[in-house]
Amino acid sequence: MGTSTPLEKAIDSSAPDPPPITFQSDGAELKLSTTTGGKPHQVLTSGYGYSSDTAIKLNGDNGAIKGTLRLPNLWDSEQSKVKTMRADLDSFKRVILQQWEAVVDSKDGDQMSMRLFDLKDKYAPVEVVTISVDELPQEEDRRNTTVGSVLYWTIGYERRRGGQRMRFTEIRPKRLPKIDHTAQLKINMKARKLAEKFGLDEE
Amino acid sequence: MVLLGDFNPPILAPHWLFSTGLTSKSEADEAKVDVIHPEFSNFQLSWAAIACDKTRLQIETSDIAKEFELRDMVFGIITVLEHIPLRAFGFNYSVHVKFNDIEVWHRFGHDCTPKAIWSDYLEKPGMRSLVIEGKRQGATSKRTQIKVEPSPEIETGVHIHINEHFVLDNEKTESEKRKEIETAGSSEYPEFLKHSKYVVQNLLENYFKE
Repeated sequence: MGTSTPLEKAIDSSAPDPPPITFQSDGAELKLSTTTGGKPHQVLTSGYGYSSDTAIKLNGDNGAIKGTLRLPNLWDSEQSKVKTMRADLDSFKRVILQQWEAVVDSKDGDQMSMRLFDLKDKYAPVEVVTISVDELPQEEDRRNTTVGSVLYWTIGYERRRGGQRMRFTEIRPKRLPKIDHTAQLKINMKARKLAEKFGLDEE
Repeated sequence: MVLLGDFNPPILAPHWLFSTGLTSKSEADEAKVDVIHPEFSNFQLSWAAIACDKTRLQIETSDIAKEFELRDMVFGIITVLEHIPLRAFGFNYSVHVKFNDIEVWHRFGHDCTPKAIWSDYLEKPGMRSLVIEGKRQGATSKRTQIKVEPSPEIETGVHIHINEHFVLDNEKTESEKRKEIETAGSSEYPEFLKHSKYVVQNLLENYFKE
């Protein structure tokens, strides 16, 4: 991995403000959550007995969220069930090293074999890989991924304000609109006609 | 990406996206809804922000890894809302860059808009906003605009916003318009992103030499 140019460093250091931390309180228990750190609405900490102006140290997964946060006065308003503020936490910026569209050709237990089409270089040769279905972070996506599913696979690194780089790999399904029964029949019919035209069997 | 047409904002809601297959249930459940109203709908998924009023639908992401997912979502929405009249669409790319040296920041503004012709009329003339319009080579869009201005978010920063605007022919059917958007999204959107990054890199690199 090469070093950053001065311009890249400037763009990195100009990353937007960190996402807001959400404070939720029922007047007794306090929860702090955020959408950053790779997990949406990740609960950073929760507990009882926090008072106004308490400093809380935050440690997110993989070090993605780190910092000390001083609480605003949560208790001075009856309206303050939910408060948000921008916290002075490290932010990060992603750099994509490789990105593919992946077509699942077979799924056997927790393994799936995929063809990879390079999204950064359309002339790159198609690659074939076998990976674990567990690479998909969401259970419903692991369940719904079948032969023919299309996924996006991204590999890159996240550059933090402090200059630290962390590798990431992310596999997410390509989400296409559901089609109704009539549309499915039309597609099947069209596929059959094409298959006939090219002398292919239905398989 | 932005679409202009006749929209029904309250339809655009996280669980509608889930019901159409355009997002997962957990993403819909975890969406942060600001407002869902007959006039305006605004919410955030974990990776995208969606805002819709009666004439405009805007979907944006700050995650570079989700550029293609953003495009898929636009395609998906116009496929599901197949009868919604569409008039135009656009691609947008936006970046804020901080200059550590205020003199270099001023020099960049001066190079973009030389002040000599203004100094007879104003003391300390400075660039507030500059919009340059033209066509990206090979693009089918009506025009490309590059806007440069002091960053409203970062002190001694520059905001560069690039917009490519496509007008849809009203004589075409809604189905044909959707095909046009899909074609542009498939073939031109990646080129637009590549070009936008090239513009930012080349505009600024002389000001960031070691």
